[in-house]
Amino acid sequence: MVQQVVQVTEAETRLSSRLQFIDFARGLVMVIMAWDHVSNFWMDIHGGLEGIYAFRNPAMDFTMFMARFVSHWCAPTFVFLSGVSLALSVNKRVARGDSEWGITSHIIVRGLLLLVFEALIVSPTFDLPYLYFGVIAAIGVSLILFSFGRKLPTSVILAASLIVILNQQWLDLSFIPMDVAWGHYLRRILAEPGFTWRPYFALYPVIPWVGVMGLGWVFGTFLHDSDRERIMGLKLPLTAAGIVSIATFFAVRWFNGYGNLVRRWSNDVLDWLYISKYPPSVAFLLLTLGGTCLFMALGILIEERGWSRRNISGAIHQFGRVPLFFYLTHLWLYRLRLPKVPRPFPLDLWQTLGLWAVGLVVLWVLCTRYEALKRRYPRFLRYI
Amino acid sequence: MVIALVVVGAVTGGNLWIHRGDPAIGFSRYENFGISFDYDAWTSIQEGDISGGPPSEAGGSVTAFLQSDVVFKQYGIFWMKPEFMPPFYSGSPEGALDFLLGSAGLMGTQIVDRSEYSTTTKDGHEVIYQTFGISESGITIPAVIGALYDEGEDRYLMYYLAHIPDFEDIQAPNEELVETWTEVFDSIKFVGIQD
Repeated sequence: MVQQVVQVTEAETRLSSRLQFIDFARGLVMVIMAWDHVSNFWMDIHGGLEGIYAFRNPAMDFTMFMARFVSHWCAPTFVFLSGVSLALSVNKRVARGDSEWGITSHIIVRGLLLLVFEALIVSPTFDLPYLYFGVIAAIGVSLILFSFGRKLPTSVILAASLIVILNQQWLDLSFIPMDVAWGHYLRRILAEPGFTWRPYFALYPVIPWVGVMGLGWVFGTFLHDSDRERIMGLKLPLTAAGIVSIATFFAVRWFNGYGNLVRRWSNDVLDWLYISKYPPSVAFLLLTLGGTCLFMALGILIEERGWSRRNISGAIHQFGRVPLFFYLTHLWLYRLRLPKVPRPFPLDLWQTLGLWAVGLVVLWVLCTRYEALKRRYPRFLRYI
Repeated sequence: MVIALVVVGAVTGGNLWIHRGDPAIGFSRYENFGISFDYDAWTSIQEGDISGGPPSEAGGSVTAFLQSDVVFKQYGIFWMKPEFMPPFYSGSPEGALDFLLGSAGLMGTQIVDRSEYSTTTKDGHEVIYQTFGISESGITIPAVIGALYDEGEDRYLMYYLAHIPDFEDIQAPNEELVETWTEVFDSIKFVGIQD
């Protein structure tokens, strides 16, 4: 009995030492991301490649468009919160006296591991080549950049991140040759996503995603320097920031010039919402990072009310506490077949929703068990 | 922190200023032979000359095509130095138009229903124009063409629009077509006649 009480108390202490609203925001977008991937694996119609195609796929009806559109919040939130977690983790290590090289090498190893995971675990699920540069690879490279960049003052990181995000549309890489493999791949990875020369495929270029991680770093540093009361007081500022950001998105779309890598050709709702994700335009990041602010504000509200461990909210927090494990697992779980094996039959919208829901239950069980395992072997599993 | 935000504002504002004349998002810019215009992602561009050869400073054309199941829109600009035209045609914009449409007829394009000449202006220059039809595949495509003399480059500029907004309702050339032609060419810059 005493042992059980001690275990429960330890678990509560661990949870309370975490910023649960971060876990909530991350878990929420991972649930949405799972929907995007299961529909990609099993449905006939799935939107995508927004920005690579200059105009909207005319075959998309409103329902299918929105089924894809909701997933836009995932990658920016995921990358932003990677920056937040990195800042919290690094500052904690610095505070407890870890060596500078120990911290740097840990980040580099983690970044390299992400590149390996992208190549060997993620790319095969989409039947993409090993060199495919996706969101995990973009985070990996950004981590490696931050292993050294973290030593810059926070104000410099903030300025550099905003400059990268706000000025990306004018970046001219034409001095790098596109007709040789290394040049093609480099341009794809740096700033020009595309699928024109197998295997040099990329969807998440380092510019401007490293800027999104930089904003996360700045926010994470702020959180580290704040006490719990101040952090809980962020609910209203985050809500306001989210609303302003989303309102600015509509202004940018209305002006139809700067910040839109894909033009709004009409006043059709789908035209308003068809924005460039590859690469992410300023409009895209205003909308999605505005949403991230709202998710975090909602997370603080849930944390305040003590709902973090209840039912669905508890499962969402659970996913957010083991994000990389969830990411690597959910792809294969939903794919349900070996690499290069074609889909045996398509599912309709409702069947896919059902598969998504069942998969989430399985993932909840797996994530719970993995977290327990990670507590038993923290050193061995610290990178996942 | 304030300094950082000022730097961000300066860099972004500077880029906005430097790129203020760039084509709008979703458009590309054609710039060649003293002609400049922006065209959208659905339009394709082709250069040539009257006889099907490559364009040169002496004479040539650039044509923009937009075609789908419901709409046909083609506009283009021809340029030609007077010394490369037969003397009978080289003395006036009307002569240049006669030469161009006559040459098009010789090349197999069926030009029908040419109207009387009318007059308008572009960038302070007098433009002679007329409506006509292009007979093709059993339909007559309504079109407008105008001509002016570009003294800066010493050449005639002839620009036309052939437009079917709706294949279900093909109409003869009318005022609306002339207005569209005017709108299209208001956005096109001819270097030699710019103030």
